[in-house]
Amino acid sequence: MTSEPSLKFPPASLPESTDKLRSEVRKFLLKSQTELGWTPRSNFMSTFSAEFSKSIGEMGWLGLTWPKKYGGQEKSALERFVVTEELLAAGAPVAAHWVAERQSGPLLIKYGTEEQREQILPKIAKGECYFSIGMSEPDSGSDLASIRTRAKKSPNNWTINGTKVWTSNAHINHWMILLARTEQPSENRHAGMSQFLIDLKNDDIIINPIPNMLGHHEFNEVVFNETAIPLDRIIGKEGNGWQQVTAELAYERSGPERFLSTYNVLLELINSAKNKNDGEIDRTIGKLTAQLVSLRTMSISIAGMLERGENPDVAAAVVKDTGNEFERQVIELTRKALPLEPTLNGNNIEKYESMMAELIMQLPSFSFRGGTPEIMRGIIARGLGVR
Amino acid sequence: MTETTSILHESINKLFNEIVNKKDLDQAETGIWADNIWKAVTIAGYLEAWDEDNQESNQISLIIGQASGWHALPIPLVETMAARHLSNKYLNLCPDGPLTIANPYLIENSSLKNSQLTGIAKNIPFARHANQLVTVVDEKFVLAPCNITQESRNIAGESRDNVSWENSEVIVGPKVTRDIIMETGAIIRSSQICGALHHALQKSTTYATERKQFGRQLGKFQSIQNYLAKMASLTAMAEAALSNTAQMQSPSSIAAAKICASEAAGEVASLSHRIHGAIGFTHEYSLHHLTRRLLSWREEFGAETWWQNKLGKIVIKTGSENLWKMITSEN
Repeated sequence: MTSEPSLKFPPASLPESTDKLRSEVRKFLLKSQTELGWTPRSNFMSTFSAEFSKSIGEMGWLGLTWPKKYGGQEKSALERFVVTEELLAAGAPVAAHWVAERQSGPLLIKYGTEEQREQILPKIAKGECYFSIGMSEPDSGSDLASIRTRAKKSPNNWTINGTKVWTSNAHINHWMILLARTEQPSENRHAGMSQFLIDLKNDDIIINPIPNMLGHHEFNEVVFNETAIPLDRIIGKEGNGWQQVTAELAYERSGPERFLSTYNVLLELINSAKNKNDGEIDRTIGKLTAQLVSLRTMSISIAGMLERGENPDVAAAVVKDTGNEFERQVIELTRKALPLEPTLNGNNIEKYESMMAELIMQLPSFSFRGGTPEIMRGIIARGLGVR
Repeated sequence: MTETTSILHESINKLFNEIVNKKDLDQAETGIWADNIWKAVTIAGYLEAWDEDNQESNQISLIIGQASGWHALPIPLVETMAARHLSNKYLNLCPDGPLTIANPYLIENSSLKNSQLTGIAKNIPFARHANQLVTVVDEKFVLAPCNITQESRNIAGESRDNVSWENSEVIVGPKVTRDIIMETGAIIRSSQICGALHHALQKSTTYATERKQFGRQLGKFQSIQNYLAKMASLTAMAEAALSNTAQMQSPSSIAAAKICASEAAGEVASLSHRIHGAIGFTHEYSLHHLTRRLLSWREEFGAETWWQNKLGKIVIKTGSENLWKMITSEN
């Protein structure tokens, strides 16, 4: 890490120049909804649409902050923030490109070779190239430094052995960024790891589905058995994997997807409150709106830090942990205010009951994606100087 | 923070560090006026810091409010700033000396005939030390004398006095709603809460690194780390909501600020006591100067539930289809 971790949220506001961009995105999304026929769903990981991702790539809204030579627009992180929050608030089907644009692309810009950048970044910016995260293993979840997948260097290639699990959309995506040990574990647990590009379509790997508790196929097991990949697939410096993965995770933890995943439920609650004059519902709406506005302000502050090249990892942990708790509160307080029996009605997802049914079952996953609350609190405590 | 505001932040905290100590706080609770502190903030020019109604002076007032909360300042600095701010806005005048501000929902049996006020007002901050107060009666902004009928204190030992008027001569301003008082009151209390939250967090963090039990620092225990992380998150959230009020003093941003501040106040007070154990419950240790204030201020000028109700109604009126527009236009 380049700077000492500390807990700071420098005030940041969105420049006026973002107003025009925001209204363009809004206009586009209204049109897109009728043209492509998607239903707004607030859970950003649940709606995979290559068609939609390509359409916003054409608008130039993917890789907004990247250099122009890689298909970017050289805009600021605050402008990217505006695009992402508009996509999420509209419940657009963003799952296909989300991980690639949010963290894999920025990782390659920071650590990748010129060839890797030229080969991959323009495709991500076009909305045509999707990434999976290859971190967790059967025996390594929160304790990421304990991974055992090994990459061994020979004169012609890297040979990989091991298993990754809970790998979202590995069966549909194009690439995975793999974290593997390139040296035996030593006294320094964080040393001796490296990151690699894995071609999910062509490399010699086995991808097995792991259905989640909703019965949906999103997770996968990815098995490496003497898998040989070219030498130039390593990302960044050999042995620098832990530093790189930490930087990647800060992107994953601080965005508006950490508190907007249940936004549609709040809207439903507001609709139901009209003409009711029910004090408890009014207060619930007030409580949740206040927290939402405040989380958004913190998230903008982090976008400002990213823009200035500062290290926001402690602040990102606050947004992730607080945002998770907020999303859970939206569900819990709404079900108390608007009694329901959640039902599964297949396609009829816009109905309150089925929307709640899906979110109630998805909720446990919101907490561990990007790191558990316990890990987040550990990071915050370290930022405060204890631990 | 801009350069100007960060210089102010530093100089104000330096001054308060020099002039406020535990002895002053303990003495002020017995009703003794902290004259040296009052003189110092007067000379420093802080009383006039919020006279103007613009974004820069809003920002400055928040920094002063946060610093006064951090140091548990035992004088009506924020009340005077708020009263001058409102009085300048609605009457075009800024009275001298200590002033205060009365919650209009705590005024009973009131009537205003021409410029003669009758009624009883309760729990007015530092009224016994103030020359005049501002409030709203019968939908009119008024600047009124402080005729004390009963002296009392909040649980932090800060004076909260009752005042009564019997055909008392007051200065009457334009027609306004009671909410303008509640909003200004909520801003000053939210800023003080944010300062006190931060100080309670800092005290707890320091204690957790110094105190050892079972042969380990308290901070090495995961449950203590959890408490501190929770306190830090709540503090950050309250500060973020507060910062939004400087830009645009909209009713919804003020409501959000007081909701987050009041919610954090109770939780952080409780967790900081839990981390400190018995030492934090002693009079000699100074944690209670912060926690008792947090537990008082969270109720004053509207508890979180009062503002939740207010904000909820604003949002429902705005409608779900326009909520996102409302949220994104305020930053």
